[in-house]
Amino acid sequence: MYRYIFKRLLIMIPVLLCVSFIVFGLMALAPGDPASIILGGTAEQEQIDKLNHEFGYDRPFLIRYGDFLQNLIFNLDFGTSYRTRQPVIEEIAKRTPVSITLALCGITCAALVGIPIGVLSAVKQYSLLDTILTVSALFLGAIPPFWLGMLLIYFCSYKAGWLPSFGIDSWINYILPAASIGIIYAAQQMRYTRSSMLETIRQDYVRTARAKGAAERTVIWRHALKNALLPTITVIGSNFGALIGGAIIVESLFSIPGLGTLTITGINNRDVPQVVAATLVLAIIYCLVLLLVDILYAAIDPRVKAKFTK
Amino acid sequence: MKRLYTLVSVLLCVIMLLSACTTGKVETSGNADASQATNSSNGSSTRTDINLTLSSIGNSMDPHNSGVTIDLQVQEQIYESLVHVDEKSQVTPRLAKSYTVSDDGLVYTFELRDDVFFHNNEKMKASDVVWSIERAMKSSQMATYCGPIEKVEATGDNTVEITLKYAFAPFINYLYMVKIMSEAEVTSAGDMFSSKVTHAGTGPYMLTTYEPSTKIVLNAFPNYYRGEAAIKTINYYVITDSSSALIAFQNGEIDFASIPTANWAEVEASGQYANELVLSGDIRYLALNVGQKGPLADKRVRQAVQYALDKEAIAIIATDGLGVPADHMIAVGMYDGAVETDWVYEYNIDKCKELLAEAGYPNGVDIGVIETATQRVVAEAVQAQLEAAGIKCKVLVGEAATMVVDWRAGKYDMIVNRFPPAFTYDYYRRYNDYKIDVVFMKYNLNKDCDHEYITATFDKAAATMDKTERDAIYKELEEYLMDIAAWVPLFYPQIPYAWNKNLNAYGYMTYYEVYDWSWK
Amino acid sequence: MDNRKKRTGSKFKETWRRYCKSPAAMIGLIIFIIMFLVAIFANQIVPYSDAVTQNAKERLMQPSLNNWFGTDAFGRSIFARIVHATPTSLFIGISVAVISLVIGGMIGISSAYFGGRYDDLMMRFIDVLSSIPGTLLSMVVVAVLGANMRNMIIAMVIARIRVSARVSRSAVFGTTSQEYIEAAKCGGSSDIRIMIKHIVPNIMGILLVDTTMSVSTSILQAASLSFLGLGVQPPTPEWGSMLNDARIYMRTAPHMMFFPGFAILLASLSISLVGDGLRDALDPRLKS
Repeated sequence: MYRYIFKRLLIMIPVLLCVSFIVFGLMALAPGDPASIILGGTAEQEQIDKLNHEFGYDRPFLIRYGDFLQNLIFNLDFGTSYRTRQPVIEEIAKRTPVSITLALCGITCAALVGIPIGVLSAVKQYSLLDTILTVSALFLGAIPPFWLGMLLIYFCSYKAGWLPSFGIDSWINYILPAASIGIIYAAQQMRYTRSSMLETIRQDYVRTARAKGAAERTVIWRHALKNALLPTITVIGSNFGALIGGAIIVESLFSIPGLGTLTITGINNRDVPQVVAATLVLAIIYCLVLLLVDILYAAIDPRVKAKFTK
Repeated sequence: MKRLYTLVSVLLCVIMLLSACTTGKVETSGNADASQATNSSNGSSTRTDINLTLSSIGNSMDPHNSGVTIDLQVQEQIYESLVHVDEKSQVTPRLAKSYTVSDDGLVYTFELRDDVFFHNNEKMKASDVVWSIERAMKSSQMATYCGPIEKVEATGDNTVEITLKYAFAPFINYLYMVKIMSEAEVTSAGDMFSSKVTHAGTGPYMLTTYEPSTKIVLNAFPNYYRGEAAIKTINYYVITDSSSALIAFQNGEIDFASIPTANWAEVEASGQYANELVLSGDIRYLALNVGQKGPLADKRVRQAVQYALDKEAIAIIATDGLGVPADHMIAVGMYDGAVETDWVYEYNIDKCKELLAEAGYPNGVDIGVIETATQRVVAEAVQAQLEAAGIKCKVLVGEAATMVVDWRAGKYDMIVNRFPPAFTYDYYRRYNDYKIDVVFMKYNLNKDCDHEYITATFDKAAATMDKTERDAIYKELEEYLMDIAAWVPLFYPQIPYAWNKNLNAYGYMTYYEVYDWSWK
Repeated sequence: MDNRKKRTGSKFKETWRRYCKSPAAMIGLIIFIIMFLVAIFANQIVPYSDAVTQNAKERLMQPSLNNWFGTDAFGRSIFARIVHATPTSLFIGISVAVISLVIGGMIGISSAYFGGRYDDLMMRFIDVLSSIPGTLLSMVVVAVLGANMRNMIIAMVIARIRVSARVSRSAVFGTTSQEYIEAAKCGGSSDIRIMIKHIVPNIMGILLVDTTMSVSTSILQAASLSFLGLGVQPPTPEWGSMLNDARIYMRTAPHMMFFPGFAILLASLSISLVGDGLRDALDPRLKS
């Protein structure tokens, strides 16, 4: 098992290299340059060229990429932002814990609500409860996230004055944003769990367990849930990874300084060092999360464990 | 199995709590001030702080390398220049007591105050002024403002002389943007200067906390030469979403805010706040590419477009009724050199169709694509009006970064954009001087446009020191440009401001001075 | 020959019969068919010009007899815009979901089937794709290729593939026992035949659910892209961009947000109900 984990960590390195290359390349393909944006549409070409030269932006893509790699590997330096002229890692270091917290809160809320309800719904399939829960989940899952966020701000912050609507001063500030994310992901979670449970319940071995006279509760929790959870855990892991960099709308609605808005600002400003560094950090977090998910896979499903420890 | 599941969830919760604790600072959040603000009408002790909002994250605190309005507005409280120019182009002395201009308009001599301190309590010397201006001259950001400067030198303990390369009447307006800083403080901070707390300014407030993604705090400088400010602390909160900002304002967490036009009626009607509508020179315009190899190359088609637009309707749609239809690109009465002309284009569909027929398009014409990065609503409104007049076109909304490249190369049909408030008519040159190779409007590609005349007239006006003469030259130029009809002015927005009733404040076009505000 | 045809024919009929047993699935199907018809006959229901003609004097009006859904910030009829947005939004949602299902499914299923090095490699490739924020990918694809509906779909598909791949891969692990696959392999069928004939039907349920979620997510994602200026160009109506336009008027003219949001909801709900119904109807376990 440990060999497997070590192997996975090693593989992360080429993955990260690929990510950095792709992102660097994509940014190079995109038209526009940082100096034009910083200086504005009416600045003289000479000034723009001069500023681009200061940034080193006028060199060919491969040379810039090589420089970036060299800096990263030997100096552990992620580069300097074109927009702020400061090391990019500073801003990223400040924002990463914020994004992680937000994503964790949202996903946990979604899982703790969605999974049990999904199981309940599957077990009581075709009942009125099942229909109500399923339709509610569908309903909630189709709500645009910013609409939900706005409603929450409007009712909980503006009308009722209970909760703050911006900033990250204390843990209270995270409640509304986490709810915006959590409610929508809970719906998705519930549906995945439900359908996965339904597939599992139909399997022969479950019928066998029932036939053998095992209590319904044991059948569900001990036998069925384990297998039903496999796809669900994948989804939770994927969502978490995506959320760290992807909760852009929630971040901008609630003025939360997270990695998502930082990346978008970077793209809009063609701030290549910032975008590449932010993406790398996101990639590292994402790979680690997936590793964790796969370890859980193995812990839950002995067949998978056997496969991995061959 | 169930145990593992429980274990994992507990683990996740613990991690979550730990991260939340480490990131959360338990400072006074915006909420805490709410009760304070709403109670001050009871006559409790006068407040000494003020809560303002920034609509985007800050980038830099270096006034010589900032172009973003948010940064400049905060810097305005911290840094000063030799003079101050207000939004009506009135010049008042600041770091310089007075100044004189030589007869040929080339040498500006400034008499400095001798009681100015930097925020680190170091006394300001003539050498600091010279150093600051020379530093600005090296910056790409300041190229427009420092362009005319040939050299600057200290000619005495308290005198500084700036020599220009050419006579340039608007120079003093441009000089206002060049802020004076402490040489010692800036050089010792090195590369970190723009992003950490430093004390290099001379203004009424100094920087205390700088977290550009969330909060910036300024405190009043006790040794300010005009006297310490009445409001002792400025708290800037970054709230990127305008609806959230409005809610924060209505909750009392923010004391002064610009209100989204969609909500203005509601805010004004509530009667709970002091408010003001400020007319801004930040014009929205439609640019028609004279260099297009299509119908727009013909002046008559361009003029037809001018007559086809119901600017009032566009303004209503784009600003919820708060915009003022515009006839000139540079607002008359607001800026030096912007004067009334003898004629303007009015909304006249018949004239439009007449001109189109004359140009050979009696049944309408397709003039291409309207491109825009930030003015989506305006572009949509313009397109619908042109369609109604028989002029077909499409809208393309894109990223500024991508489109600017094409615009500078003259590769577009039409652009809808905004033109920032200028100080003087001369600023308009940045859009019309064909010699500036990145200018959008390539007059030199259209044989009916006398591009040489345009550039020469701008030069002539800038060199004319007498205001009446200069105004006459600008009037001639404006009428010529209007005749070419490349620029279609659409409307000036009015910016709605609202603030706490107990605050003495005022609305502004671009810059404000918290120094002038106070609590009742 | 005849027997085989009869069997396939009756299999379809059986599935349909089972499908009809669920009231929720029928309701979903009916709603979806109605939306589909609205999409096809949009021009007959209300002329396109109604959706784009502006009227500054009649802005932000509440629903009334003249304007069933009220007017928007430009004075255009919201009803007309909703109707004409139906084909656009449905097309975007469905194409993204289907294309990413096919491509992602191929990757995920083959990955789970072959296992070993191939699985590792594919999953690492998916990891690389996943690590890059979807919006960055979308923004740059559109910046490089140009902003229009086709490129928007391409951008969203690229972002969606990784989800489909992972889901289908884990679905194969979770629901198809290895022994089943081994047995089929022993039978001498080619790999592709096994994958299509044996594996796909078994995981069809989860794939269908994933696809239906995909459709509604894609419609919402299209809204986010419109927000960044990468979506359909104005004045083309599209539910997502209508929601964005309505954002600033949420407090003063809430009706603007209600109708497009409700339309997205209806579309998503009905498609999900259809997917659920299909899943239940296709479940091979019930055959015996």
